[in-house]
Amino acid sequence: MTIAEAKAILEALLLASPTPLTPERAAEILEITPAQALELLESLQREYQARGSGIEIQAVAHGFQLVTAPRWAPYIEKLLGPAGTGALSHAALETLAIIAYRGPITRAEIEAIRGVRSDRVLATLLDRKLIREAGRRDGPGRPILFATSEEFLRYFGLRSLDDLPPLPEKPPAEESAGT
Amino acid sequence: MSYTVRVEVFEGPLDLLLHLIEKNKINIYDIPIAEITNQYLEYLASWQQFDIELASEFLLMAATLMEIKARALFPKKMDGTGASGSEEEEEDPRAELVERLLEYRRYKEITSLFQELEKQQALRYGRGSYPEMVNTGPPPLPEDLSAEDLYRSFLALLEEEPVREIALEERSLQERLREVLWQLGRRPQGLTFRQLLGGRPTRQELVLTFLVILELLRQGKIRVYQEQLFGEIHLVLATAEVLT
Repeated sequence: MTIAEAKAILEALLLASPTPLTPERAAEILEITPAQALELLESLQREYQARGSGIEIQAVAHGFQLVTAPRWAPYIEKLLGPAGTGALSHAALETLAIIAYRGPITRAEIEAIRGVRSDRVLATLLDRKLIREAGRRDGPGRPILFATSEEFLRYFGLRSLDDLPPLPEKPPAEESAGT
Repeated sequence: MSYTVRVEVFEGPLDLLLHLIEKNKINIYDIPIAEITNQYLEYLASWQQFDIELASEFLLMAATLMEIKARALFPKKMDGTGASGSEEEEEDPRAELVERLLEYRRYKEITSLFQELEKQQALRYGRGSYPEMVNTGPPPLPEDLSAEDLYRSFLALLEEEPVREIALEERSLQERLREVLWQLGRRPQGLTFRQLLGGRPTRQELVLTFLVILELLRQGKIRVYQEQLFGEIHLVLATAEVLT
């Protein structure tokens, strides 16, 4: 297998894969090392970019996926109609933010931060597979823990949770500088 | 002419409080609690005017604010514990609320980032953007579980908990069938399914009665109709209709 062939295979895998293709999985299939697979995928990604292709290889959710280039979105909309899945509500985004930064986290803990009941918004997020149950917390009632899913990363175009910037800091208490 | 009423939407009481603090350009560490409480209550009152149902959380926060206000009015150090009553031990009654507001604000602020990411990613179409391409196979297993794990834990469960039998109330379909026929016979104008069941049917009665209706329908002994989708089910003896 030449490098050109390996890249061609990877390109085919990217098109066929229903979920982002991880270098590990690609390495298994091509019988090369994950590091090699990663290198090839990244070089393929650069080629698409350099050629000004209408398709880009996006690094997302610990892997790579083929997507249409964002700048051509208006044309895609002409083809498919306005964007399909509705955008998430503010409540859903807020809850996701808390789970992304603080997960795994229980419903009660989320509600303590938001100050509102959150059972319905959690049901929606579970339904859309943006969060998943991640075991239970030891303690009374053994409450369910929620964490973000791979679909979450994909939905927001993140490679991993490490892509997220740190949470904004609390402002310093100006007036209590008396001590 | 129609007019629109603009109602700001708040995620919850904390969101509303942050809005008030921002609007009044208040230092969050030094909230004028009486003033903010008044404004907060005004908001709630205006919502009620428009018949917007208030979530209980908003009322709870109103109570919390009033409690803080009351505590702030108390003379300092009422307790007689003596020696420990130094000035610096004095706890600001607002402290806990401020802490909650600050914590909530961190997530509220970062929410706009997720909104932006969502918007950006929505411009990229790929696998899964097309409904017909969505994988319709069985739902994937949780990441760290295999089918084998499930099988093993199922086996373990079987060993742990012997299969038990649930006692079924002795009431046959035939018995209930006769009852229903008898009840319908007394009411030539018919009965609704609800009337047939009476006050508080057990789940078993509900199922049994429904089965009886299906059976009677099959035998052609009754006629059933509904005035609207999910409306009441009306039952009439087939013979009764012939007679009238």
